[in-house]
Amino acid sequence: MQLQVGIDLKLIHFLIVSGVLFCIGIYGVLSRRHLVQILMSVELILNSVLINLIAFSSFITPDDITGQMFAVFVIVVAAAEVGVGLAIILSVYRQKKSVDIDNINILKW
Amino acid sequence: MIFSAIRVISARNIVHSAFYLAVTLLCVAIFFILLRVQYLAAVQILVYIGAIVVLILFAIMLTRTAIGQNTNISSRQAVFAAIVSLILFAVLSIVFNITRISSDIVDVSEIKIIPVSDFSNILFSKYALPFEVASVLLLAALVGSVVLAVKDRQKAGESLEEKSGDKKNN
Repeated sequence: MQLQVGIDLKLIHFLIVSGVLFCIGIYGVLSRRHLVQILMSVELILNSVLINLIAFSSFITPDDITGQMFAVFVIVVAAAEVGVGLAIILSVYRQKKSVDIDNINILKW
Repeated sequence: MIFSAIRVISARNIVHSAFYLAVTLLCVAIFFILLRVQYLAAVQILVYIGAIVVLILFAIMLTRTAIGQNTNISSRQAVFAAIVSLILFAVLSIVFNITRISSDIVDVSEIKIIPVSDFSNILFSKYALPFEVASVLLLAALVGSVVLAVKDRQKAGESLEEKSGDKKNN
């Protein structure tokens, strides 16, 4: 199965996309106030890491699939993290009736 | 893809940003197909778009804050966040410029597809222990999220008892 790509897609292009995605995710985590939206930004960061892993695995060690294996485990951990995170958000919402992180300051001294 | 990723963090309506997240994840799956790992693209679509986005939509629905409402950015933090992410991107681009990665493959069309059977063979032989650890982690996450999300069990039990008592009295 030979896929013809019009332009030359090199490793650096994937790295740049993943870097941009990572920066967008960092911005989202730091600036948004809704808890669910922070969780979504964390997903963006994890996906940029996935692109990086797969790109390096495919380009540098094409016969080895260690990078892909790592990517699978990253996906598993991400799924677990989202499940627990949403449960925490639900219980916080029940306690405080709010999902705005400015109102959730019980850990603040 | 970058556009939809930006929309994820800039959309005013949080439901819109969840759907833009789905679009972004789909684009990541397309990247995986470009990199000749069709198996992971399928996993990405199933797990992320099938499960995680739906879960996030459910959470939005249950916390029912934002449908129609604005979820505004805290402006004071946004400036700092923009500065931090721009600095990070600058550092990353400097690193991309100064490193020369030596690889045999220079273009995606030269990557060959590794069959899924090899993948599963290695997963269950060399990576058997991480596989088991991952399954235990998933179990722990399942139990933990149930414990966290279940409403105050004591209260629920009491109200159930009250209800049944009321029925008996009636």
